[in-house]
Amino acid sequence: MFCPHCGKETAENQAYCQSCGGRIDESDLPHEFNVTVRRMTPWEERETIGIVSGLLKTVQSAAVHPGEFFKKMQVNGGLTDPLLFGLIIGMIGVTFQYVWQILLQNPMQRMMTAEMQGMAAFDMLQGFGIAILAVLAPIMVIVGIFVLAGCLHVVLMMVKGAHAGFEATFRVVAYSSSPYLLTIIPFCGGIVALVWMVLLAIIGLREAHGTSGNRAAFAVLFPFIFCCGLLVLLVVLFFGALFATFGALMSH
Amino acid sequence: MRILLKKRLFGQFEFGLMYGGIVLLLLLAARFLPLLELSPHCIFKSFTGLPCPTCGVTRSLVFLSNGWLLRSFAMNPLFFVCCCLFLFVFLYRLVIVAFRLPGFVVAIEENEKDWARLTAIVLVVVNWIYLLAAHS
Repeated sequence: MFCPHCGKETAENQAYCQSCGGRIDESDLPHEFNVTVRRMTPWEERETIGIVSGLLKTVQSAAVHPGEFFKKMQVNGGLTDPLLFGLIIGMIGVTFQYVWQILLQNPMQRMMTAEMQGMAAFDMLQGFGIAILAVLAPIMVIVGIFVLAGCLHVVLMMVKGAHAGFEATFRVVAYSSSPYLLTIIPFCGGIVALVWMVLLAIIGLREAHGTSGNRAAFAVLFPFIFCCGLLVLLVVLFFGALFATFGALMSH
Repeated sequence: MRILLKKRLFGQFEFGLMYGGIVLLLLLAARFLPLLELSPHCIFKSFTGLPCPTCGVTRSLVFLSNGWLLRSFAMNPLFFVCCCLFLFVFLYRLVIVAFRLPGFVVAIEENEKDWARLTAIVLVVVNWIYLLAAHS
């Protein structure tokens, strides 16, 4: 039996969760949430099936069969495994983005106006800026997962859709990063990956929390529509500024 | 609503430290990096001509990082309060973890959650009305 508020496992006859203090009442949970048998993802069974196999099977299941994957995904068991998965996928994606930046640096800069080329943000395409980017990328990925999971969970709580605790949202965010591998394809790969990740996040929240698709969609799309400032500020702007400044310092 | 005094469990993840740390990192970035010069235009404002609910967040962060509390509050009051709250929780949890002390946990009953949601929505709306008046 799991706490409907924090997702932690609780004893059968507990009136209140020993972890978060929330009231435990099975009527709080949707029927579907109670009857679904959840299990570890292939990535969490990597000690048995191997790291590469676990990673690829998880990517395939999450990206191709998201409904089934998130419906069966366990919503507790710690943040380390999903965070590690998100970090690996994020780093692979970022690495390919850097490769394309390096290979396509000159054509891309020719496409920019003189004003754009003069902006500090574009200095990161030069010299040691890319090396600094690579060093700071893991921090960017980890903070990005936490910030995104936090934003989605707060909005989901607001619409009464968070039945399985923060950990479920965190796991959905981490595993729905699977299509980020599409950055292997230059230019359009990143856009396709973003759209795919948004869809996976909606399906993931719906299945992991046992909530309606409308609530899950609202939780995912609301920050994009109304709180673009927060997302841009917390994720892109901070790291963009950080990288750009390092890039500018290193190139002079 | 109940306030419980609970011992920290071994291996318990510290959300307060994590999210408070992110805010602290943002403040450091705002203090030492030229965030305002690199700020992109708000998509919401460029479409509607009105400030979005998070308008002024960057400037509020920059002012806060420089210690200009009133200016920071004026830019986006809700963001300012949230930042201060996150920093307080960060320091509080840091003490709890460092000295292995029991910490206070706020448990909200199910019927009180609707009030909590309503309060949060009202706060966001009031803050937005202030931003519409101040930044339009």
